[in-house]
Formats: sequence, C-alpha cells, structure tokens
Amino acid sequence: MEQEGKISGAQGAVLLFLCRIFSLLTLTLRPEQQVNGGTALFALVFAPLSQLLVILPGWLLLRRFPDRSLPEIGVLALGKWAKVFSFLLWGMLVLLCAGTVSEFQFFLSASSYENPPVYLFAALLLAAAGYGAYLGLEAFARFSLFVLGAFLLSFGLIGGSLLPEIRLNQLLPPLAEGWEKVGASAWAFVAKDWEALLFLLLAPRLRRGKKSCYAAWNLLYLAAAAGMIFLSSTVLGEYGGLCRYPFFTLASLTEISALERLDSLHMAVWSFLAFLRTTLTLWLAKEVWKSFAPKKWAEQSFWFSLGAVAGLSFVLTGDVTRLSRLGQGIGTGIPVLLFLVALPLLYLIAAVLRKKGKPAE
Amino acid sequence: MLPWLKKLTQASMEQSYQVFDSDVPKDNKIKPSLSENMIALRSLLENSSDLQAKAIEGEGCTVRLLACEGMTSQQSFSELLAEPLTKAMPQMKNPQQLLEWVRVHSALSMDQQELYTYTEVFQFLMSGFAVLLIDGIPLALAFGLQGFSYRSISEPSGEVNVRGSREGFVEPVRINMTMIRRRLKTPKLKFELFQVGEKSRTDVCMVYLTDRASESFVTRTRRRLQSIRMDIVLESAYLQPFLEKRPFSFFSGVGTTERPDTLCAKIAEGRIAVLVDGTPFALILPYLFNEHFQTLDDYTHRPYYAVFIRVLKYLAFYFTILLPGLYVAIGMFHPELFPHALLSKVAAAEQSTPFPLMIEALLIHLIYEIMREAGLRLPRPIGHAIGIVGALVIGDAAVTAGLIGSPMVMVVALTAISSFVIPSLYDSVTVLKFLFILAGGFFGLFGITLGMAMLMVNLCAVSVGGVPATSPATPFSLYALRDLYFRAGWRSLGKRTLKVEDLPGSEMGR
Repeated sequence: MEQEGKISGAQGAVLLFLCRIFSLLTLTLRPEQQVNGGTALFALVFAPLSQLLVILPGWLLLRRFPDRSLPEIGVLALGKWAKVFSFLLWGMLVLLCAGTVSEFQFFLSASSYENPPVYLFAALLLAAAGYGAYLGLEAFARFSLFVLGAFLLSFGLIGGSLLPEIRLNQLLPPLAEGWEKVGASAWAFVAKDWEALLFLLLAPRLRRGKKSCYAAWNLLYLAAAAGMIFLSSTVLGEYGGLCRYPFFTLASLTEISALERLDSLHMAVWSFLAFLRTTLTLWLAKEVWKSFAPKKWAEQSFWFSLGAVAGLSFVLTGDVTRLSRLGQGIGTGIPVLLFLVALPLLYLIAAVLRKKGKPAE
Repeated sequence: MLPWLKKLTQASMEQSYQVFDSDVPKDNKIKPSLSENMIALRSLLENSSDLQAKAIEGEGCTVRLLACEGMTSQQSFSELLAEPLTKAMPQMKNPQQLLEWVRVHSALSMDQQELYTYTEVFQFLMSGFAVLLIDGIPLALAFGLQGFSYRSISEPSGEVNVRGSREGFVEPVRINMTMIRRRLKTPKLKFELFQVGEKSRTDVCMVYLTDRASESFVTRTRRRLQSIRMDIVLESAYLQPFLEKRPFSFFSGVGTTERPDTLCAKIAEGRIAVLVDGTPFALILPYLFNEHFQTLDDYTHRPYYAVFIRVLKYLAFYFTILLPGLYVAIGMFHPELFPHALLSKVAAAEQSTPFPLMIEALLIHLIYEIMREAGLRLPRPIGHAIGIVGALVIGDAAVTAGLIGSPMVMVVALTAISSFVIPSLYDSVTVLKFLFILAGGFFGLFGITLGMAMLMVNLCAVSVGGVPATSPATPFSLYALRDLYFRAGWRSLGKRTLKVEDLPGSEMGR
C-alpha cells in the first residue's frame, strides 16, 4: 500500500541521521581507525569537509536535475546503458540492507540473548522492515521522529547519569598521534558514510529544503558522534576504543535510581534504528529496481528486493567472518568513491555531452 | 500486494456490496387519481398493517391523510391537520383550491414538503411525517408531525465530564441537528441530508462549517457517503470503513462522539461530522490519534491540571499495551534487567507456579476479558456478582492455589485499570496487549520493540482526507503542539483557531 507523496527536508534529515547513528553505535576506534578518542574528536571537524568534496558531483547532478532520481538521470544521460549502473546500485543497496540486518543479529547474539535463533530474528526484522517499506516512505519518515525522541531521551539519560564518571585525563591530545592519523580518521568517517548515497537517492523525494536537510543531518550527526566518542573515551578510557559496542557498555554501566541499568533502553532504541535503516534501504532498493527491471518484473520490485535482501542476510548472519569482511570491504572507501563520486561524475559528464549534441550510445 | 491477490480481493469486495434497487416501483410517479394512488401505495407496502389512512370528503374534493402508526403525534395530527382540514373542506370548490389553502393558509404551511414519487412518500411516511393525498392532484404533501417515542436527552454514558453540558446526542437525527444548531448560530453551518441503505433508507446528515471545512474534502466525503451500497445502516459504525482509507490499522482516522459540544468544537476546526439516524454516535473526520487523549474537561480545567491528565492518559495507553508483554519478556529472556530487589520477589512468586510466564499472562488476561464481557452483557445486579466472583477467583483463589504468581495479578490489575482510561481505544489496546504478550514471550525485548515499530509505522500510515493521524506530533508543528501533550491557556488557544487543513503534512485541500 504505497502512499504517494514526498517528505519534508526535516523528515529526511531525521531519517538519515538515525540511519547514520546505527553505524555510529558500533564504532570501535582502535580496530577501525587506529586512533584515540582525542584524535577522533578532532578529526570530526574535518570529516564534513571531506564529505562535502565527495558528495559534490552528486550535488551538481541534483542541481541540474532537481526532480529526477539517480537512475532516471542515468537513463537521460547514458540511455539504456544506465541500467547496468542502476543494477549495481540496487546490488549495493541490497548489500547495505542485508549488512544492517546481520549486524543487528550479531549485536543481539553478542549482548542480550544466549544462543538466539538468529535466522528467525533476521527474518522477523526483515518482515517488519518489509511491512514498513510496503507502507511507504511517508509512513516510516513520520515514525522516525518518534525514534529521534527515543534516541535523544536514551542518550540524555545515559550521558547525564555518566557525568560523574567522566575522567578528562583519559582524553589524549588531538595531535598526539600526528596529523596523518587525523586525516585517516576523518576519511574513515566519510568512507562509512553510506547515508550520503541514501541522501542522493532520497533527494528527489524531498518536498523542499535539500540544503537544509543535508546541513541538519550532518550537524546532528557531528553532535551525536562527538558526544558518543567523548563519553566512551572519557568514561571507558582505552577500553572504549577496543570494545565492540562502546555505547552499549556505557548503557550497562548506567544506574538511575531503581533502574539499575539502561541497556534495555539502549537495545530498544537500537532495534528501532535497525528497523529504520533496513526499511529505508529496502524501500530505496525497491525504487531502484523499478528503473532497470523489465516492466513485468518492475511491478514486483518489492518482492524481488526483499527476496535478495533475505537471501544475502541469511548468508551473512550465519557467519561472522563474512560479516566482518563485508564491513572491511565497505570501510576501505572504494565503494563510496565509486557510487558517490565516479557514478554521479559519469552521469554529469554524459549529460553535458548529450546537451552539446553528442548523445551517448 | 500481489496483483492476483489484489484482483481476487477486489472482486470479492465488489460482489459482497452489490445490491439491487428492488424496492423502487417501475411506475414511480404519483397519479392524479386518489384511488389509483391508494391501490399502488397499499400494494407496494404489501398491505402492511402500520399504514393508517384517514379519508376526508368534501363537496368538491376528496383527500386521504396517511401516517405510519406510532410515528406521528396524535395530538398534533388532529389539532393541526385533521381538524382544520375537516373544517375547511366544505368551502373548497375544487382540488386546486384545497391545495392552495393547504400550501399557504394552513397552520402547517411552514413545515411541509411536496412529494412527486411513491419513493418519496414512503421515505417521509417512515420518518414520521403525515402525508396528504388529494384526489385530482398528482402530488402529495408531507407535514412534519413526528411524534414517535424516543429516549430523552441525557448525559452520554461513554463521555462523562466533570464540567460542561450534560446533553448527549439521542437517536433521532433531527433532534441531534437542533442540538448542534443551538450551539453554532452561524449561517455558515451546513447540514446535508441524504439516505443510505437500500432497505433501511437511513437518514445520514453531513455537518460542517462552509468557511472552515475544505471544499474538496467535503466533496470527497459526500461522494463516498453517496456511493455506499448497503442494505441496512443501523449504526454510524456501518459507514466508518467507507470513510477510512487503507491500510488496515488498529487505529481509525474516523472518530466518534456522543456529545454535541465536542462535535461543535471539532467542526469549528474544519472537520466534517456525520450524523446517522437511529444512533447517538456521530462520526468525526478526520480524527487525529492525539484526540483520543483529549476530552472537553481538558479545556475547562486549569492548563497545568489538563497537562497532568493528558500525560497520565498517554502513560496509561502505553502501560496497557506494553506492561504485560514487557513483564513476560523481561521475566523470560532478560531477568537481569529487573532491579535486584524486585527480581528476588518475582522469582519467588514464579517458582511455585506450574505455567511459563507467557502462558500465565495469556491465561489470566483471557479470563479477565471473559469476565468483563460477561459482566457487560448481563443485567447490572448479575454483572456486579460476576465482578465479585472475578475478584475472588483471580485475586485470591488462583494465587492461593499456586496457579499464578501474585506479581502477575498486579500486572493484570494495572493493565485493566489503565485500559479504561481511554475508552475509545479499548478495542485496539485489548488486542494489542495480547499481541505484545506473544511477541515478548516468543522473542523477548526484541519482539516487543519490533512489534512497537510496526505498530507505530502502521499508525503513521493512517490518514483521512489527507491529514496524517499522527499530526501534529509527526509531521511536527511547534505551533500545533500547544494543544497536544500540553494544553496552553485559553488566552493563547483563543487567539487563532487552528484548522485541520493547516496541520503539517495535510493534503486536504488538494
């Protein structure tokens, strides 16, 4: 029951911010970025600048074709060859969606359940996300505001109750490991920023305020990232950079009066975030599928996308090594460069050439 | 949805709502001949014994006064119609003169309708009008002399208020219309009457303010109401599904009220109300989710108290649907989340019971619902007895026998009390409560949060007339927030009336 229509820039910003937070909750500074908290905090200042550079081709493309989606622009610029790129884009979205499902299953089995039926849990999450995607963008974008409220509440409660535990001397100077590490850390933030791609795909569905959506989403993210890195570095110290779920560990340490720990609250919020990210990526995959599939199959875009995500997430859920390999592959930044820089640049050049009277084959 | 499934469901829907207009005679027009008309009417009514016909004969003309037994006021009928007509008849030289006299000079000239078809005659007769047929005239005159007995105006049992009017809607639609008109004396208030129901021909009245309600929304609602194909309409709930939009949801975008003052406040915000003859429950559309948590008392109490009550209601709602499920989920999967003092008590209580927590919760809630249902349908004195038996059986005997733990009794009691805080959501929360017990029992906290996410997305997808049911919480409006979780004072609320059309995310005007 897809609802027609668009969402506001504010809703888009909240949606993207929450999707980004999902990845932030698993951020482990030492294994992923090989930096300490102070350096990572300093790198956050440069991360938006790097991201701005990465998203520039996509942004120019959106300015040229404000109401067209990326696959539609591809067809205008490259003709039928664009379908190949759209297929790759769909594959990437399916991978992201399946990665989210598997990552969340891994979190559940590592933290809250003893020997959980992971395949069943993955199926449940997919079924719920499938239902969300079926109801349409407007429905889950509206829901995202409730999740934002829940996230801010839990973040505030956990952060507030940990204030007495903060040890500032655990925060190393930003340049203790040199400028090179600052640059590497800033790039690491951008390399995992798949929400920038989601933004490009979502932009035509925003009623207005694309710029403010982009700015608000990034500012919110910076504030949350800074808060989380600061808390995990100053409360957990060196261990914060090593443990797999630093914010979950912080939530377990929290004590508020009779509520002796807040990890349940954190788990609930993270479930909402996983649901939102899976739903959004699945919905976008479904939309991209329509752009390249034959008409007969395009009508079944939802089922094809859901089937692909289910298959892939079952493969990933069963093996942690595969999941971490996927994370490492994505973390290199090459996929981001391909889909956020190379692809929009290709479309942009092709579109310019086509306008000059040299249509591409 | 899969195309073949879509086709199948659509076909079955169309089939089930296909009705035939078998009641309308082929030759429907009223004839000049009185005897011909009487034969036609009697045969169309299959000689039904509730049709009363009084013949009055004069020199120049003959008339028949028709009424349905028990539907007209006997006193008004004889004083205002039969008696003056009997006196006037000898002076009438021809049928045309009599018709003019009735039209212009009779005491009932204000409240009369000219009818040209048998269908109209039936409609008015069965709504309590008296109908006059004159020999030689191919039309009938209907007079508003309704005198059927109906329940007098009283305080609505489902929406009791501490302050404010004690009037509630009654069954006859026309009396309900007057209750609204008395409260909104503006010429912009419009009533649109039409009939719905092939057999019942129920009067349905659409009420709105022409300067507040969106024109396109009014047109769409009118079209939807007029396109309803049903045999009988006995209650406003029959029409509700036709005014709602998909998807299926536990929460409706169409609300109900028994209070004329509430209804007036709603239509003043640009909403449309639908009154149905035979029921005191009026429909209001669009109806936002937060309106379930608002009552007229919120606006008569001081703002700080109104805010307190609203927060309490939201808490009660979440309590009802989540408390049993959360208790089961934490008890079965995450006992470490119980504070230590509570954990030992819960563990001690549950150790002596034979059932797992989930079965225990399902069982006890099911028993409670059975007893509630039994108490509701039985005569009051017996209903009280059911309550006593329930309290003894559940509260004492089951715990003493070791069938259920005492913390579970607390959970049931808290859930039951909370569920009555918002009566309009009772049916939704009852089913949801069971679903969350199952989700918590099978999948723990993950099941609960996932279920909650699905429920919320479903709620967010509900919109009526293009207005999202969750507005103005999401899509968010800071201005509209003054009457959502909080209630601003009247100095602020009275400055500008917020129309539903202006709510964020509204596409009502499109």
